[in-house]
This record gives sequence, structure tokens and C-alpha cells, in this order.
Amino acid sequence: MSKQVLDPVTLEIIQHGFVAAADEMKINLMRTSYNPIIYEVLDFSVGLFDSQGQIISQASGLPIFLGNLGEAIKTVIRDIGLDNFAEGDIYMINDTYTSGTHLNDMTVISPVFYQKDLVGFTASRAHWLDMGSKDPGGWSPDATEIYQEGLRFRSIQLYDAGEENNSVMRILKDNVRMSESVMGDLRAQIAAGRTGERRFQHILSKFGPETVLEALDEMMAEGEKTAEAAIAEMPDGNYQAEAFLDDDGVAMDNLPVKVQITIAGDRMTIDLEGSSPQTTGPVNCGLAATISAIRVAFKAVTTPFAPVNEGHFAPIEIKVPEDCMFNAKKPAPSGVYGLPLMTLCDVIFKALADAIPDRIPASHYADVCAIFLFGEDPRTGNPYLHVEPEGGGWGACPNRDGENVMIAIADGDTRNIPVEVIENRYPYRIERYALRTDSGGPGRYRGGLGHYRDYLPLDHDPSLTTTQERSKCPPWGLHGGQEADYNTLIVNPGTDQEEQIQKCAAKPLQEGDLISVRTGGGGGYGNPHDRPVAEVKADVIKGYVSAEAAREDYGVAIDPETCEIDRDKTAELRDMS
Amino acid sequence: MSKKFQLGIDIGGTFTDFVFIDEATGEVQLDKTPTTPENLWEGIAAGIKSSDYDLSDCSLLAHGTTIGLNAFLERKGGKMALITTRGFRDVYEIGRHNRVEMYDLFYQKPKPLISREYRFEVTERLDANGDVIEPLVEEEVLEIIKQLKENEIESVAVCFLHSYLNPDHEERVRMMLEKHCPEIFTTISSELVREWREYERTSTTAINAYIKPVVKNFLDQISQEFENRGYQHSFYVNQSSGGLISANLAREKPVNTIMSGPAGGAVASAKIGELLDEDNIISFDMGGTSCDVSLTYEGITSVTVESKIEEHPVMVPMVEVHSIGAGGGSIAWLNENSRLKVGPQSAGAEPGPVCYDRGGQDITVTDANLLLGRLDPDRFLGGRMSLNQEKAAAIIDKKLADPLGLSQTEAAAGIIKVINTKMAHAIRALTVERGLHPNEFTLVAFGGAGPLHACEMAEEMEIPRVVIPVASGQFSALGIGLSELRQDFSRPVIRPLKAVEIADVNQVLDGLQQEANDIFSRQGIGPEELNTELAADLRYLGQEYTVTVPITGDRDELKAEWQELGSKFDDFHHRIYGHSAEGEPKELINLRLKATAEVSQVKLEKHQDEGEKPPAEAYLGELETYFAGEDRYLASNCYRRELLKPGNRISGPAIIEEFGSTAVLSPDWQLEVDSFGNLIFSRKE
Repeated sequence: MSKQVLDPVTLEIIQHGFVAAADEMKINLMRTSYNPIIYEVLDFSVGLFDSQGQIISQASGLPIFLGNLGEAIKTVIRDIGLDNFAEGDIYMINDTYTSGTHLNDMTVISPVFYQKDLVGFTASRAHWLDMGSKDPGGWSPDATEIYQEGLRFRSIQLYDAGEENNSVMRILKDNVRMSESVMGDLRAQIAAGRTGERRFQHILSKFGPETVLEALDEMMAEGEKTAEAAIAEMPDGNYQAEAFLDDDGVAMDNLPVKVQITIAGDRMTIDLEGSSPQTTGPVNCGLAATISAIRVAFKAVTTPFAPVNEGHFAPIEIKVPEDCMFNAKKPAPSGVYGLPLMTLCDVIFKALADAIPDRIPASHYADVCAIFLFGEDPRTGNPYLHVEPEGGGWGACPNRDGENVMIAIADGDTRNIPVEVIENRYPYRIERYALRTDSGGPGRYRGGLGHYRDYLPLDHDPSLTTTQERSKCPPWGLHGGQEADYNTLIVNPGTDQEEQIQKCAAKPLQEGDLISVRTGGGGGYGNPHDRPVAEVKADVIKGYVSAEAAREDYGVAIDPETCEIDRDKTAELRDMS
Repeated sequence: MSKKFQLGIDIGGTFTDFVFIDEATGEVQLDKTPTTPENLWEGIAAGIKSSDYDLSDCSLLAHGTTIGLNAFLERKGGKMALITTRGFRDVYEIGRHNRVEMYDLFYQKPKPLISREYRFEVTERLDANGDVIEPLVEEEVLEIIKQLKENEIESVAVCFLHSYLNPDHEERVRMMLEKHCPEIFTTISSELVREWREYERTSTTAINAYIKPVVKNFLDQISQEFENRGYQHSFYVNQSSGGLISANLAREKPVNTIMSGPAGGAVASAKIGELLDEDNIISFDMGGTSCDVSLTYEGITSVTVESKIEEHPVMVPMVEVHSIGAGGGSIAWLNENSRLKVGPQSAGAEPGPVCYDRGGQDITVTDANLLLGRLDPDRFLGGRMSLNQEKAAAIIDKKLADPLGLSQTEAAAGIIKVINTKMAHAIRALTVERGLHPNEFTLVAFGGAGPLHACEMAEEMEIPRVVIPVASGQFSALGIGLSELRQDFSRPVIRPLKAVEIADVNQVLDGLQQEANDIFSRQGIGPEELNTELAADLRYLGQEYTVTVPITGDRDELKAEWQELGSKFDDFHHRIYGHSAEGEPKELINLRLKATAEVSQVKLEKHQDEGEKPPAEAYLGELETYFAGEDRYLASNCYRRELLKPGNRISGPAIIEEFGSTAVLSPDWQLEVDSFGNLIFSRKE
């Protein structure tokens, strides 16, 4: 069928118009939300979708929401029926088994109408502080059923043709902690949806629905073509890799994450056969979230800079076994669903390391090392909940060292919370925020460093929930590079009460207990003995690498005081290898 | 001759522009000299010397400069150290740990300007109220000072946690540094930014410290030279946010002037918009080295405190400018696949384009314009410079046309097409990519090369109207010469709105007023000459981002107005974000005071309409000019802009020459001279 080709300028303006609309939704949500996880950490995503729930454009924020926002819309469409939407309707959904995420990620969806026709949807998803789980904030690593993780909504109508559904609002308000914050964030999401709706309609009225639809088709086709071309460049073949997670927090250890990739021409198949069965503890992911993570990895190795639309993902086929931690079935818990996804991304990269060696770095710290601190703020008497993702080291690249302290692959434009903001908002003093010497994997190119971030509770006894993964399978190196230090948390380091924690739920702590988060580094790339002595010396001067590690790992004898190199000893150390 | 005048100077990458404004008549005299990068003063001196003005009659001297920006971009700043709170020297390296290109596995964060071994920690600590928990340990500072000297550190940035609430520790460190090592430049964060977010504040402080030695040396040198030539008043520098500050302040806070030149142009364009009743303006400034685009939408020129320069956060107010390496001096070259590329390298002022005949061997955009008959070789810079057309023709054949198998005209036209496409992308980034169509805007085109390309840009972007403002070749300099002094002050006052005592507000506002008075009196301005505007930053309790609500009434009636502030905030919130929460508790975050003072005595005046027909003496003859839309040369009438009168109309194709720039009017366009002397281009009916 021959199609009339749109002129490239109009096409470009329409495409950018949709991207700008999503960006505007993002800014609106970020600027009016009540919750640092949204306004500082940017743990949310917004987008515009066509009437089938296909992505038209999505604003940056959390890449892991890259596929499952559309799944959420498709679920609402299935539940409600395309003919039953009215202008001014708003729905919410956080159902793990259809939209993929844990219950704290709430998606707010509105249909968009133009001249009485349903033309598409806007959606925003944001991490709410609390959903009424057994412990404040959810994320409990000891949960065994989803019912412990909070309220689950599927396709629930918040607004009926512009009329607020008071009953639902009351249910929400009465069943979540910190309800002012939650309701404020809901308000911000509703407003962001309205912004998206207005922009969507503006574009339609400017160019006419026919032109816009045609432009959308063309955008999707273009996305598909670009992705196909990127796959075609990769050598055909079967590739596989495996890693494992420490445990599910409850009953199962050493959970395999296994990936088999087949590249044939311009098609790619990704199969998770051999990965862990569904777990007792909450490290399960809904299928939609799994697809999302695979899309993130796929995009990173194919078209990292192109604006996202559904077309980019047409050439991949995804296979996930029925009984699998990556295909959660009711009532499996999934509060910590993000953890396995980051390892899944890294395993996909590892599988492709031989196929496209110049495009794959060594493994990164692969966790967000999240901490949840809660209790009663002694300054106000009100309950508080502080949630924060932590950055860590990234893997060394084929031509340079890995980056120090950046956020994990599943989280993208996600930021830390400034120390000054934390100390204003919560009863804590941050005692240290510093790079963790020797945490990067040694290599010709060194892996990036993780950090120390030390929290001291003030004038009250808080509780701690945390997950620090991959202690038994630390970030790996590539092509002779070595593994990095792993993620961990230590309470009261260097004292008699020192305690190492990898996972805990609502653990009571005391005033004055120092909580030291220590994130892992990235793996090294190439043989560390090939690293030029001058670069090792510079690392010691800067304190990225200690003199001992320079000797042990890099075969460089260096005086810790003067940083002078012992040339003979160095030659000897390097000869031995 | 002794007539009072004001002088605006804009030092660009290629040319230094001068605008002498007669204080009595408002008449402007323009000049342009090649920028002398090795010693910028030489270019300035040449311009002042060649004028018939005497600096002792100058009542106001203001300038815009890219010296700080260039020092940063070219990493030519001083050798640096950071002093910060114990436990936090890596804040500057860790940043916000986000990945802007979130699917890019090879994303790199901005590299700190200060290497880790020169980031020092001292024992000191404030809490979130600004109260001292651990006093500053001065012995440690002394120990650091020793190391600064050993390592020959030139400039130090000091940034402590929570110093935005209490600058005492930072100020004490500064005093110690000034006492023990006065030769080292010092910048403390609290003198630049009084807002939280330690990484952004550290980055801003570090950039200031980094460019300070270069900027200070330069300002010292030129103010001495001005003084030697009889200039008796304060000398001003344009800020990145628009508005002037004294050179003294600019020496201390050069980061405030980092986008000095581009801001001058943006603000001047917005002023033209006001004169013409145009709310939507694209400001298009194309000089020798770069093209700067900025936007005024619905009357508001975007200013932000969340700017980034090469991903480095800068927490001071700045006009949003999109800048690309595209100018008259941009070099045309062939890549390994024999594709024609233009820029971003520029031939600069030395050696300049081939046609300048100063030894340049690289064909530039200016050479292409000359070869296409858009510039008259004998009338460049008012005839002060003649252009060597033969040489440009020979080199374009050899380097571009022959290897590409194109005619000379095709090669030259190709250069123009490539550079125009690049600039169109810059305009798109600010309009289309934000969902705004350029056809809602008026293009204000200036800079030495802007008017040459404006009509074609407008055609490509469907922009209906183009304005070539008065003094278009030196428009930024004109804007700067007519600017007001401006300073913005703020203080954090973080508490529930309901709990705010009006007496406390008054006390803080008095403090801000005092600060404004002090800073302005250091610039020779008395309190009675100050115009102040007050505002409060509010948010709903629990939110982070604030909305700035103006406080417009009389200070005596502040109490009454204060009671209305909450509902005013609801209105503003609703207007900006489309929702509000009337009943919810609100929080006060900052009080703000913006102080301005008129220093310019000149107002641009309207002149009488003198009929459609241009005066005979304005007509210069014909040029054979190539137009891409027609793909052929057409005879174009040439006019001398300075002799055109308000009301004159000209039909394209035409070439309008003025000192410092040349405008091309395409065949489908016409122009009218408005009552201020601006050229207004529009499509023929």
C-alpha cells in the first residue's frame, strides 16, 4: 500500500510536540509533588499513548517504566472497554500482575478526546510513600504475600466524567500512612494528566487528526526501522549468560538469573528459561516489569539516544517461563521487584559482551541499595518516612575507567537527595558522603567506586528497612578485569555493636546508631597489570586506590606516604603474573 | 569637542563592538574593531581611539564580555582547591548521581574542576537551622593554608553545609585566607547563593573561583586603562541575568557575568519587542564565532537559576541562551567522506576569513557571502576594510568546489545552506522542541552576520516577520549601554506561613534593603535612586518547589497584604500548574528583593514618518546577488541604512548596508523603516 509521505518538517514538529508535551507533564508533576521520591529522586514516569495504549512519547525519569506504562493502559482498556470511556474520566492502577510494578508505583490514567473521539491516553506513574503495607513504605524483604504489601487497585475510577469519586478517595485516605503526602501526589498526577491532555488536543487542533495519526504511524515505523538496523549490525548467533541473586529474603538462596539471546538478521529473541522459579519472598516481578527491563537493556545497546516510541521494540521477542520470578502470579509478593531487574539488565549485557565487545562495559553495582528509615519525628511528633536510592560504581568501559557513584541502570535521571534537604526534612544528621576507596574492580580500566553514606538518627529510635543485593555474586569484570566490592550496610561500624546487614524489614534501631550504607563498585576491564603505572599512581594520590591495593591488585609498589614508585619491585610484581 | 556620552562595549569572539550614545540627543555612533584575544585591551583601545569622543566626557561605561565563559570552556582557569565540611569532599565529584542520557551505558558525569587531592576537609558543622554543632577548627585551616601554598594553588572555593543559613564559618575561613595568603583568590559559597542543595552550590562556587583570576586580571587592566584615559565614573559589567553590576562586584562574583554578552542581546531584543508590541520574540545573534538564540514568550524572557554549562550546575540567575558554534568566521571543510561541513571551528579575528587578506587560508561563511554578492567588497565596515574577492574565489575553488565537483557558486551556496540548517536547529530547540511554532514569533536578528541570514532563516522556519534593530551590528553593545543596574537578593525564611510574624518579615526585608543599599552605594548609587520589588517564595507544606508571589503594596501596609498572600499563592499555583489546594497549610521559604537603578540618561525616541520613498542619497547602486530560492543571481538594489528615513519602504531583492552588518532582503520580501529606525521585514502580499 502506498502512503502519502508527510513533509519532514511537519513530522518533526509533531514528534517534538509530543515529546515536549510529556516533558511538560514531567515538570508539572515534579514541581507540585509532596514527596522527595518524586521531586528530588524523580521516581516517576509520564507519557502519551495512542488509543491502543502504544507509547507515543515518554519523558525521561525512570527507564524501568518504559514498557509497563502501556501495559497499565491496556489493562484498563480491557477492564473498562474502549467504548465506555468518557471525557474527564480518570482511572488508577497499581496491580502487580497486570502492570508489573510493586504496589507503591501508582499509575493514573486519563483518556484524551478530540471532537468526541477517543484519540489516546495520558499516563503518569509515581512512587507513593505508602500504600498501607505491613511496614511503612512497603519494600519489606520478609513479605510472603502481596496482601502484606498494601492496597491493590486495578482499573479503579477516580473521576467519572469530571466528577470525583469520593468513596475511593476516602478509602485511599483512610488506609495509607502519610496520607497528606499521598493525596498531594495524587493531585499532582491528576494535574499532570490534564496538562498532557491539553497539549495532545492542541497538537490535534493544529495539524488535524488525520495528519497526526499519519505522523504517529510514521514515527513508529521509523523507530522500528532504526531498531532493526541496529540489530542487523550485530553478528548472528546464540549468546547466553548467568548470574545469581543472594536470596529472596525469606526461604530461597542463590537465585539464578539466566538469559539466552538469539540474534538472527534484524530480529532478537530474549529467553529467560533457567531463571529462578517464583520465590517465597518479594523479589518477584510482574511480567510487564520484566518486559520493561528487557526493553531498557535493548534500547541501551541499540538506539540509546533516539526518543522512545513503541516502534523501537517491535523487533524483539521475549520469552519468560510460567513459573518464574520474572512472571509473578497472584499472590506472590513483589515489593522489591526492582532488584532482580537490574541484575537481569546486566546479565543481558554480559551475554552480548562477545557479540558486540566495544559496546558493553563491565557489570555495575546493580542495586539501588534503598534504605527506608521511619519513626516519629521528635521535632514535630509526626510520623516520618525517609526513602532513598543510593548510587554506586559503574563498570569499566573498553576505553576508560568506570564512573564513580551513579544510579543503577533501571533508574535513569534519578537523583540523590541533598544532605541539606534531608537534614531539614528528617531527624537525621548525615555524617559522611564519600567515595569508597578500593571498591572499584581492578583492571586495565578500573571500575567506578561506590560510596559511604552515613546516617545518624537524632533524638529518637528509628526503624530500618533495607535491601543490599549481590553480596555473593559481586559486580563482575570483563576480558581479564576483576570483580568489584559488593553492596552492604553496616550499623555502628568499628564498634562492639557492629552489625552487617544485607536485608532487613522494620528493624528497630536506637538513637545514636550510625547507619553506614556502603555501595559496591563496578567491575574492571582488562588485566590490571596492564594498567600504566602512572595511572595507578594517580589513583593512589587521589585516594581512589590504596597503596596496598595498588600492590596486590595492580602489581605496583608505591610508598603510601610519598607516593614514590619502587620501579624494581613493581617490575618484579608484574613479572610474576 | 565635549559632549556627554554613554558607551556600551561588547567583546565578542571575533569583533569588539562599540556604541557611543550622545546623552543629549540619543544619537548613536557605532564602531567595531577586531577582538585581540592575546590582550583584549588592544582591541578596546583601538575602538576608543578612533572615535571622536573623549573618555573624560563619558558618563557611563558598560560592557559585556565572554572572558569568564571562555576561561571555563577552554579550561584556562586557575589551579584550584576546595575547602569543605569534614566528610563531604566528594559531594562535588558525586554530584546528583543521575544519568541524564539514561539509556547510554557510557554516560559520563561532569568532571569536577578540582581534583580530589586538592579537596580539603575541615572540622566544622552547622545543623539545618544554621546553628553551630561543631565549631570551626582554625588550626586545621592553617594546616590547609600551608598545603595551598606548597601546591601553588591560585584560587580557593569554600563551601560548607548549611552555610546558606549562616555564613559565619565560611567568612572566617575567608578572613584567614586573606590574612595568611592574600595572593590566593577566595570565593565563599554564601556570597553567591543563599539557597540549599550543597552540590549545586559547590559547583557554582567552584566555577566562580575558577574564572576569578582571569576575570579579575582583565577587569583590573581595563579599568586602569579607562582611568588613564580620563574616565571618572564607575565602570559596569553586564550580568548573565540582564542588568548591570559594577566592575568591583564583577571581580568578586564573575560567575554572575558568565553569560554576559548573550544576555545583553536577549534583553535588548525583548526591549525591541516592547517597543513594537510584540510578545513573542526569537532573539537571533550571529557574530563571527557563535550564534546565540534566546526566547521571549508572552512577554517574558526566560531566566533560570537552574542553568548548566556543559552539565555543570550554575545556581545564579541567567537568561536561557542556546548557543552554537556558527558565525561569519565559521570554517567550511570536507570530512573523510567528502561531505561539506561548516564550523564549529572559527577563523576568529586573526587570521579571519580568506577575504580579509590577513593570511587566512580557510574558507568561511563570510567568504561565501561575499562570493554570492551579499557583501560589497569595497564597502565593508563602512569602507574601512576592503575584501579580497579574487583570493576567496581561488581558495574556494581549490579547497571545496573542485574536490566536490561543484561550481564556485554551488559550493558557496552549499556553505550557506549548511550553516542555516544548523542555526535552524538551534531555533527549533527553543521553539518546536517545546511545542511552540516559530510562526507565532518575530525574529529579531543582529550581530555582524545575523541580518545576512535572517530572511532565509525566517523562510525556512515560517517566521512571518523579521526585525533588524537599530545598530544591529552592535546591538548587544547598545543594549548594554542602555541597561539599568540590577541586583537580586534573597534570604531563606523557612516556616509555616501561619506562624510567620509580620515583625520578622519586616526585619528580614529591612536586612535585604540594607544589603541592597550597601551594595549600590559601593556602586555610587544612593538609596533614594533605588527601585525595589519584593516577593515571597511559597509552597504547600510538604512540597519542595516554590512559587514566587510578588509583594506589591506599600511596606506600611504589609500586614494587610500579608494576610492575602496565601490566597494569592493559591491563584498563582493554579495559574502555573492548573491546580491548587486552597485549604492546605502553606510554607514560606524565601523572601526576595530585586533592586534596580537607572544609570542610563538616554531614551530611544520615535521619529516622524518621512514617506515611502527612500532618499536618493541612500541608494548605493546594484549588486548581483545569488538567492537560493530562485537558484540564480538577481540584480539587488543596495541602500545605506544610516540614510534611510522612518516610513521608507523597499521591495526585495535588496541589500541594506550599515556599519558593522549587512541585511539581505529576499525577492519575496519587503521592508519598512519604523519610527525608531528599525527595519521591519515582512512577506510581500
